[in-house]
Amino acid sequence: MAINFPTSLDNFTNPVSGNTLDSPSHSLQHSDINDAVEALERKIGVGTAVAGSASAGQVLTISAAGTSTWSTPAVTQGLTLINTTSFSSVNSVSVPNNTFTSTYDNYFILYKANFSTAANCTIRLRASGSDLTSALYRYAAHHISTNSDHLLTTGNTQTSGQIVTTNLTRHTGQLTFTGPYLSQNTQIDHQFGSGRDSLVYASSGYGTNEYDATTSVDAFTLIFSQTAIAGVITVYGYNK
Amino acid sequence: MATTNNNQEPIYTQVGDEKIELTGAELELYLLDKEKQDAVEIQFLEREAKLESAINKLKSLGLTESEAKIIIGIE
Repeated sequence: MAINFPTSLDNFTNPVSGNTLDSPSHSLQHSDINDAVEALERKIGVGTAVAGSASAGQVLTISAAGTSTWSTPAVTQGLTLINTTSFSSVNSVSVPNNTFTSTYDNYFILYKANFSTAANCTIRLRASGSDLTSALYRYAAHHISTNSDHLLTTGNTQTSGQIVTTNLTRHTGQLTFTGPYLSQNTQIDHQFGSGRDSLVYASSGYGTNEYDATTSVDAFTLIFSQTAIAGVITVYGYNK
Repeated sequence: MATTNNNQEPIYTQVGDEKIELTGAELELYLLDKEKQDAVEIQFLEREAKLESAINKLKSLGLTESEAKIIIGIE
């Protein structure tokens, strides 16, 4: 009997007590098993790596034509966590130097901060451990609040960018940095949604900032007009 | 000579995990920034007060709050 594997599964006949050597055929039993084992070998591939040498989570994969090995499966992610900076009782906070590198072109930042007194938030880029304070920032932003007020804010040739201008006691923001490490103008698009206890309303807003110079930057600073009680900044890189 | 911080509370920045008290030129820059942002806050509160006053005046003429906001242009 010819085997079916790998086209389909085999269904071998098992000899039972009392069977003679020719029924089922003893030689065919050995021949079929030999063929099946050889087919399994071709399916799995050669290679000395055994399951006992593999780590948890690894899978059997082909490393070259006909050769298999155990390896950790590659995971393609849209965002990769770069770092998280927690802060308390400070008036400004900078993410670590060299947060932005050549590994990623664009970055996504989540931040939140709480204040005992309503505060604004401005931003500066950093290079080689220092804030860039030249009057090269420009911004445009639209803020709305639950009292239905709309506020347009613009600035040109400023010494810092602007994130929040409606003084809030609770900030939650999303920033997208385009090309900070590249030698090009850095653009920061922002959205925020926040609350303010003293006036009992919430605000949200969106806008954009740009640093008008082809400077490679590796970090940024958020500057608050009041002392932040506590907060956190999380930086992700967009995979290329 | 270090710049005097008239605000008796020290001003701190944090770089990564390191907390640093601002002094000198960096403190001056922060205080200038704060002055600008405080001015923005004053303008914002003045605007809020004017809006509230305008809404209340329109409501005293018999309009609803929603109608008042539509006339003002914030709704």
